[in-house]
Amino acid sequence: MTSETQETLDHSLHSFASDCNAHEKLRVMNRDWNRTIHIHATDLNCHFTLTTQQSSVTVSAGAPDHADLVVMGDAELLTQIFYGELSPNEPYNEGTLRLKGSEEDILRLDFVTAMLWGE
Amino acid sequence: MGRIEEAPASLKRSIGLRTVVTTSAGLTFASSTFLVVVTVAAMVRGNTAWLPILIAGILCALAAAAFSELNSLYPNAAGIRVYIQRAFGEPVALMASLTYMSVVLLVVGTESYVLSYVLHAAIPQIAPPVWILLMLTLATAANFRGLKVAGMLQDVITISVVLSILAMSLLALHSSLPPAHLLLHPGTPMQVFAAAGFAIFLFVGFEWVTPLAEEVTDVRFISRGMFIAVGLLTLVYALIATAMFAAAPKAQLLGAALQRNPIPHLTFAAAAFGPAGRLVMILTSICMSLTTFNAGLISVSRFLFASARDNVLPSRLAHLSVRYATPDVAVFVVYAGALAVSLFVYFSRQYVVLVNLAAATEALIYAFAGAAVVMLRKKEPQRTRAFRMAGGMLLPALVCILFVLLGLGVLLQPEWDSYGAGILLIAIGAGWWLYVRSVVMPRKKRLRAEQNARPSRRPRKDT
Repeated sequence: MTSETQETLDHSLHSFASDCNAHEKLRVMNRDWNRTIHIHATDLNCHFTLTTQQSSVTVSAGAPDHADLVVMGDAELLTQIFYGELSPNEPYNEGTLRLKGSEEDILRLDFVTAMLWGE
Repeated sequence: MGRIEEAPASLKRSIGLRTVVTTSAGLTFASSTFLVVVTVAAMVRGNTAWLPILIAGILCALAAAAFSELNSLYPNAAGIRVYIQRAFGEPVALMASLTYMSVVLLVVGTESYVLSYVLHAAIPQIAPPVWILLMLTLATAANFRGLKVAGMLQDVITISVVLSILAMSLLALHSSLPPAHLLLHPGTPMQVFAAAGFAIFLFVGFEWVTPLAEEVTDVRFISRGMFIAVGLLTLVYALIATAMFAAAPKAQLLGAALQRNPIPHLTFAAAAFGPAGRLVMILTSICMSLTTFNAGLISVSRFLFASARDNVLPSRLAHLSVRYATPDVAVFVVYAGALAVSLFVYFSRQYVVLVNLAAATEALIYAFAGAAVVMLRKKEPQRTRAFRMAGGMLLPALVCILFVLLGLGVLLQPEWDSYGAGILLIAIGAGWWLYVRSVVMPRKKRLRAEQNARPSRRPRKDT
């Protein structure tokens, strides 16, 4: 079950990365937003790294040494967010989704999800 | 596939205690606070404004303790919205945060009114309404480009403002120290209590530092920073209030009943130090307004964006500028709102109503913070708290009661400035409450149902 949940989260992140890479407007907006984002599924204690570099988004397994932004929540919640099934605002306002980083980076990540699914 | 690890990654950039203190104090400093200082002084006898300011400072330190506990429970940039939501549910949290942001917009209007007179004093050829238009357009352009006063720049601005005000206050007091009897007889306790309620305006925004909880090196810096900032603000405002009334005549500082002096700090600086002092005060005032404008306009526009994303406000407000990565529609809505309020204040001179409104709203938000501490201790007793307010349930409950009384004290005075603010606050709060209950909550319910019915993008499992 744990492994299956982890696999689904992994798939959602790759799906998110390919959505970002295919979105022309988003690529323009993120042309100078080069960041390392640490995704931490707290219930499984598993980690992923999302990297944005010159408009291109990639996903890798494991935690980075240093991150600009840390996104924390349980695996199912993160999966729902990265599939675009759930807006991050609601769990963020409820306190179940935790973010660590500068306000600008947190806001930019919200801009990304807004442009993909919410606008 | 993710691997199992114990240690989370460290952040590349993080903020230290100094920036927490300068951000907390810097967001509070504003040119309009001098109007409040002289009004507080006029509400008590002699030269005793320091006493209600000190009382307001002590009460705000108690509120800071409540915010510290809440922040340690939920270190989240959405701050007060999250605390109230966890304690009292979503509709109450939405009503409180929408009312609060509406009041912040009104405060920006008051601030631009005062600053327009400061700039007019520096360059008299340009009339105050033109300054209002210029300043708001410039601040909006910066907001649209995503420029923000933060980090080192915030440190430099706040430290310069503190040093400038402290130096002018001490020098003025050195040359004209008021006699002891003027400093020690403030009038009746009710006069002092009402003045303390009004003086809450001097501390408006110190708690806006809680969004930094997600980028500090140690989450305890937020509580320490708020306490240091409140102490610093109390000292600075108590000294400048005493110095202003020691160095300049009361009638000049206050102005006439129908035409109040919007720039009493320039009157003081000119009386105490001549044209050079006036120039230093103009520069200090511009620095004070810079952070208020920047933080006010950015906070309200980002709040509109987040609320639109959360299906609370119209979705049009969630539109983004691809070029600058900023919420362009929300930025321009805030610009239009701030300009309308500023020009209304300029032509009607009703800024005292808005100051009362802001002081009372802030007092009620602090009351909410105290009540949220009590409620969350009951609802979530096991949740880890890096900071715990002292005094069991009694002290946070007392904070709630005291701030409700202070808020009511501001609104229930016999003058129009006071009860007018009360009417306005009830209208804004009730309007948002009706909107939340009749529009937002049904819309959210419908959207949640639609979301559940949407086809899944997850990979299909072959069994």
